Amino acid sequence: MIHLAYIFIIIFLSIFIQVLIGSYGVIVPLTAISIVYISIVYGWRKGIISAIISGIILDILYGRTTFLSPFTLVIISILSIVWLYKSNVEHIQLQAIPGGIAALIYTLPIIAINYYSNEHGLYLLFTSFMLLIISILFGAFLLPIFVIVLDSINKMLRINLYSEAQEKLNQES
Amino acid sequence: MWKRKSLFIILIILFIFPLGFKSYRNFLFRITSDFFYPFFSISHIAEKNLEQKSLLNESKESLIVKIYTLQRKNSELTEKSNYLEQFKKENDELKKLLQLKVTPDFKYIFAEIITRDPVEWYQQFVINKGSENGIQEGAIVLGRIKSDNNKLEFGVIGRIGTVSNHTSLIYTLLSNECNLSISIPKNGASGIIQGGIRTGSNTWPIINFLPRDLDYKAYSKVITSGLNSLTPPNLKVGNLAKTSNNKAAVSLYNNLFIKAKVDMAVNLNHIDFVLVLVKK
Repeated sequence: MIHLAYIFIIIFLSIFIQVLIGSYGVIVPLTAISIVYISIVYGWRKGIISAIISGIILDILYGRTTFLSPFTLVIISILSIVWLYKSNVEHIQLQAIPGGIAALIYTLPIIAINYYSNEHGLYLLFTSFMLLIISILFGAFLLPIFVIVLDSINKMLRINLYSEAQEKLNQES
Repeated sequence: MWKRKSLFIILIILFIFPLGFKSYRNFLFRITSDFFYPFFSISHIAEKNLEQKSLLNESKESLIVKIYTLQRKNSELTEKSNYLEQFKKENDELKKLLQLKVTPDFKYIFAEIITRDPVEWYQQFVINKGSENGIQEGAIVLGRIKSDNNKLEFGVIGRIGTVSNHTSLIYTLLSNECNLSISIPKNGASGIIQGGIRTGSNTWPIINFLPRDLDYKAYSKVITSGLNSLTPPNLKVGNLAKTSNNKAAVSLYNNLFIKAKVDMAVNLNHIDFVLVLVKK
């Protein structure tokens, strides 16, 4: 039960901050980052459920009519598990890669749809590209910070750690 | 194990599938936006408090001068409003005598933007007033026009889409969800704004169904026609846009009607607050 409450708080805060900063015209993919974290620490099932719920909430809060976020977040959740199995989650700096990729997967489809639904031009291409780059940079920068901050809180609360997820996986197998 | 997995998949499908229905989306919007409302309004409350606190830094003399000027302006505006009210009554009585439709009264509700989608920046945003403040679905939303002489003028931004207790979703004239009947007084043409397009940094709502046998000039004023009971007539929408050779940006569609681009009176990049016109 404590895990569910903890996941709820992480998702709530990330959606809140993402929407709040989004109102200034910047995409900070905090929800995508939190989905990577939840999927790796708590497993794919909790990751996918969190992805669907948070994706729907995000799109509803923005008043979007095309619900892309639940799908992109589910893909992010699945790829996080692939990252857990195939790569290293112990090195904090290395987590910039899944962070950047998660931001790319989350931002690219919504930007592409917006680009093609308008009359494309160089200016729109440039602004869309800038939104994407800023989002990727935020993603790459935020996941390592997310891991450091949440792992230190998890340690105090004696909850599973992101950096020890692979070790735990090896012990279970 | 398989039973649990299939139950899990069915639950997910049951949750996602109804998203195709507008009523389900509206229901979810009402729940989530009301839940998040207190948190999003924190920043606005903090901003307001800071503004109020900054008044304490001003000298007593300057505050007295400001109060006097505002009191004078207030009495001037009250007098003007009373004068216009008399005209309105007279106009309504004459319309009744001629058996014409009387224009309904509207009240103005001031609201601030709380959330805005960075991707659909020009299409929609959410304001901090909802059904508890008297906002109705379909109500017209006005924004301040940027004028050179500091005159306070307002133009149409869009319509209220979904309303929750504390928030409302606004669809701008550039959104496909917003339809607005308009008229062009210069040639008497009427049409409907249905969505818009964006080219570079410029955004244009599109007027459809304009009669093809009329002459359209660039910069012709576009106003609301007031055909809908939720929309008062004669509200400024913008002007007909021009092409590179100074002609009106119009095109014949399917040999049936004229489509025209509108230069919006309100710059959607610079809106901090809006006025919602609600029928009394």
